[in-house]
Amino acid sequence: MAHVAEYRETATPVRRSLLRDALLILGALLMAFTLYLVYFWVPTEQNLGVSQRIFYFHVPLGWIGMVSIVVVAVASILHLATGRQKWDDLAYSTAELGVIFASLILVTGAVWGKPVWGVWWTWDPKLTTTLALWFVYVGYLMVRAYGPAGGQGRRFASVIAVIGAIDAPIIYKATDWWRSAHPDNNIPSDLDGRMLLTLLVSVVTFSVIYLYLLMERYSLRKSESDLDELHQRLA
Amino acid sequence: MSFTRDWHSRIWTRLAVVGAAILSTLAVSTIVSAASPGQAGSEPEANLPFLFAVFIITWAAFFAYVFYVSRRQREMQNEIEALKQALDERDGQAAEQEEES
Repeated sequence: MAHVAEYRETATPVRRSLLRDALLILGALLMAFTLYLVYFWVPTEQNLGVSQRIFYFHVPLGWIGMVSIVVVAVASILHLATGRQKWDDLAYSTAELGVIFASLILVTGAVWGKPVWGVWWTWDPKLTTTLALWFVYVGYLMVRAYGPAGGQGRRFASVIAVIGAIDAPIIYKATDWWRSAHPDNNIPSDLDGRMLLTLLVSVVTFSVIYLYLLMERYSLRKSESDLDELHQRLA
Repeated sequence: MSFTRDWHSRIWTRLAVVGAAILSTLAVSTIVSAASPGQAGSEPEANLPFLFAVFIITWAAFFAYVFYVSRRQREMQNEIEALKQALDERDGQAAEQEEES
């Protein structure tokens, strides 16, 4: 029973439950507010029409997808440097969320591209480098699932994450370095104030939801690691 | 056992909140689609399905992920219970052996 007691001490999934619940409620409220802004308040863009409103979802997803790979890389570096399990748990949890957000970037981008460009997909530098980011995330998780067990597999995956993070600045600068149909990173100086505010609120909303999902997944991952350790001790 | 039950109740509460958020999204979408003819812009009605598709895809992905995490959590709790039971049995057997010796 000492093992179980130790497990409860280390995992204690209810410890941060209040913060997670608060984030969930805040995220739901902010999302409701964002929906109001996007549908009822923000003006319709003259050239693109209603499809421009996809922008208020696509951009925050893109932002979080980029942040995720940086978090995965930093956590992986810290894991490689210190060997501590918690950094690996963070990297794994973030990578899993990164796959979801990168998938959503690609899908929402395709849904935007169809009415604006007339095609669902084109091998534009921005799109192609984002697809590469998706493969980096998937590669990381595949190494974790099918690679060597234990510390070796974790180290292999960490190296993949660090190398994969090189893609983040490439995605960011893609519109500057190559000819691209994708809008550039700079917010136009003449952008309507209501559009800018809606975008900022949307970024905050998705960041809160992301933080909630990350905390949930990290908590689960930590418990999984503790349980694995228990199994190893019992074996 | 209360630990497991507590987790289950918390998971369902969260799922209920996420479900409510999705329902509110769909409700807003329905209202807006009914009100859309009055909107300004170049052929706004033609592109509304694309906007709704983005909403639905995004929320479906979030909901599916939360469902996956909660299900995995439930499986893990079952595993912990089984592990506790195995440990209790092992400790019991060890105590019996000590008494016999």
